[in-house]
Amino acid sequence: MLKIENLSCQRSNDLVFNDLSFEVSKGTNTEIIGSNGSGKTSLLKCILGIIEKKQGKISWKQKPIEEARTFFLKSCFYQGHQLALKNNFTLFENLKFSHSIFNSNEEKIMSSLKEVDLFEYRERTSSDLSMGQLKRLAIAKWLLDDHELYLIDEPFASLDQEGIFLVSSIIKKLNSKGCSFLFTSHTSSNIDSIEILLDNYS
Amino acid sequence: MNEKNTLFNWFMLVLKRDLVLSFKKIATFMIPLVFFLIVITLFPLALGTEGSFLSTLSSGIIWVAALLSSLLAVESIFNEDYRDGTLDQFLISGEPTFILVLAKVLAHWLVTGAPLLLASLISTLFLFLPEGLLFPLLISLLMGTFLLSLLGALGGALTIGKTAILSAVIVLPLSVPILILGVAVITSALNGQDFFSYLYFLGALLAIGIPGLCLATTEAIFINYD
Amino acid sequence: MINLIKKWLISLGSPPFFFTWASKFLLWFYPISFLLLLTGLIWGIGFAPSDYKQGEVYRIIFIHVPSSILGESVYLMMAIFGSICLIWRAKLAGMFLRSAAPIGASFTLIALVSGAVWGKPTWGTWWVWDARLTSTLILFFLYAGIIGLYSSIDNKQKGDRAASLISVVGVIIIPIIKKSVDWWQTLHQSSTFTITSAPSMTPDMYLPLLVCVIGFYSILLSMLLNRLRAEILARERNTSWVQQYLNNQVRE
Repeated sequence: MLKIENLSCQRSNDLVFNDLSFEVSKGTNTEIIGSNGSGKTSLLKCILGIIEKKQGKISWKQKPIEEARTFFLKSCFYQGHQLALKNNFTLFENLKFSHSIFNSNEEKIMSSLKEVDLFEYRERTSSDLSMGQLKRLAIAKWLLDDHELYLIDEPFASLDQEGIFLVSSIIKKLNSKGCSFLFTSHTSSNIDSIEILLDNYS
Repeated sequence: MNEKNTLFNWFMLVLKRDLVLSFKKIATFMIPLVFFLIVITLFPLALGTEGSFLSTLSSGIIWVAALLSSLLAVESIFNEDYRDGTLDQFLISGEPTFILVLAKVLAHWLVTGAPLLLASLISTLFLFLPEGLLFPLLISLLMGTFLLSLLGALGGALTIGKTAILSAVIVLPLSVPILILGVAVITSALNGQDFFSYLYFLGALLAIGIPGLCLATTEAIFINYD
Repeated sequence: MINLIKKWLISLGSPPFFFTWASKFLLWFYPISFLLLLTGLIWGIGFAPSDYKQGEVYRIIFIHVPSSILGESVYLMMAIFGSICLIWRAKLAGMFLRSAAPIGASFTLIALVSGAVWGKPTWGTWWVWDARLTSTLILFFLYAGIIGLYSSIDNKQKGDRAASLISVVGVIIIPIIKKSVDWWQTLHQSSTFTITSAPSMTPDMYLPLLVCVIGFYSILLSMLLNRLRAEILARERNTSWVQQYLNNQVRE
């Protein structure tokens, strides 16, 4: 579905990664592993178009991404380091006003909250939550709508064993629905995935 | 769900979101309003309390105070969303950024400009604005504050992460025509002349400003993302 | 022929090529521009006939008028190069804005100060809210805003593009500002002053003014090119050609 060919990208005039090629097919997971500064976040941002790519080709469903950009953006979901959650919103409102659903579908929000085990807190303000709980709220966002490709930056960071297990099971569930994941992490996780290692390019 | 439907839904989503967020903290409403009233109060304190003197200056003072409070309140438009990654999400959503900007400007105006209209009524008491000028004052402020929200959004987008005062310095010179026209509406009403022609000018500025400034603001947002 | 010119113009967009070209050009152009400027000023201030109405004081026109023309031209240039920077992402066009903005601001300031100095003997006051002076003041504030904007942004390219955007928006709004200030001034015109923009001029006065304007423009071009050279050196200091150039300079 998503095909990357010879991609290189730079950040503040420094080459971050060079000549990267891989492919993400339907219903599979691809994991980008690297140390800090190896360009994992930049790779995701480059695919999404937040950062300009220096050279290379990105294609989505056999079409170059420049032609199919809106189409691509609407079928994918991104979660970066900043979780895009508002402190002043309650959990319910945070999901309600997430961009991925237009008409607030209350049942979907409720069921997502139940799945990540935050249903009891739905009327609490997000500022009351711990980091792990916030991460789980971010995961609840994944479940609001089925996207074809999920680009997640470090899904396992700041999570305890229970949280990691939760994320893994959700990823598996979404895989069975045909969703693919492209995520980054520091170390290899226990998910069924193709692993790509990024070297620190300096 | 056809295209038109989605655009409107996107607009309403952003608008509702910003409004709910502003309502959460009553301060977001109150602060620009109180700032406006404080600035108004400073003038009699500085210039003296003589009724006829103040009333000649009243339209100008109200307009300057409106300018300052609108343009200093722009921090809420983009800064917070940029900081917690929500702006990223909006840009990646694949929905038109122009509509996003329009919705945000409207939300900003509803929170800063619209209460200002009410506050200006109080300020007419403080500054002894002559009777009968209420209507021209309100309608000129109505159009003017919306233009100021548009300009403020441009300033806010250019200075994401920096202080509001930098954004005000950039945008205040550009708001001079609005100030001049706005006061002209009231002054010509005072002199018994037809003030509608100036309102038409303000309307023309709005007509160019809404598409033009929103477009410039979307470009400014993208500049921040390289 | 046109293709050659086009090619040369496009290659001028690359910093190393521009740098070497500008250095060579300035070697002979800078002295010439100084000469032109000096000629114009001395001719005007020293030798032009005195004015019927204003006497000797009007001579400040030889500084005031070219400065204000330049202040506005520089803004226009900034808007043009700003749009080149935004549309084609030309690095050099962006750097131009940083080089040009302080120069434009300075000329505007000179125009304001010389206008005030002119005002004191002719109108009896250091400052008057006439339409031209007010618009020039607002132009100065616009410059200050642009300089404040790009100096507050750490990433140089982003700063350039932000400054470009505000210049382009500004250049569209400037005619509106001028018209509204003009019109505002007619509303509030003080009855004691009849504002004349300049004495009506004979060729004796007009020619030195023209030479002054040309002189000012040439010195502007020289300063712009020089500042742009400096900006290139600062910006590209990590590239090999700059390192080589600086090494050569040190050796000489």
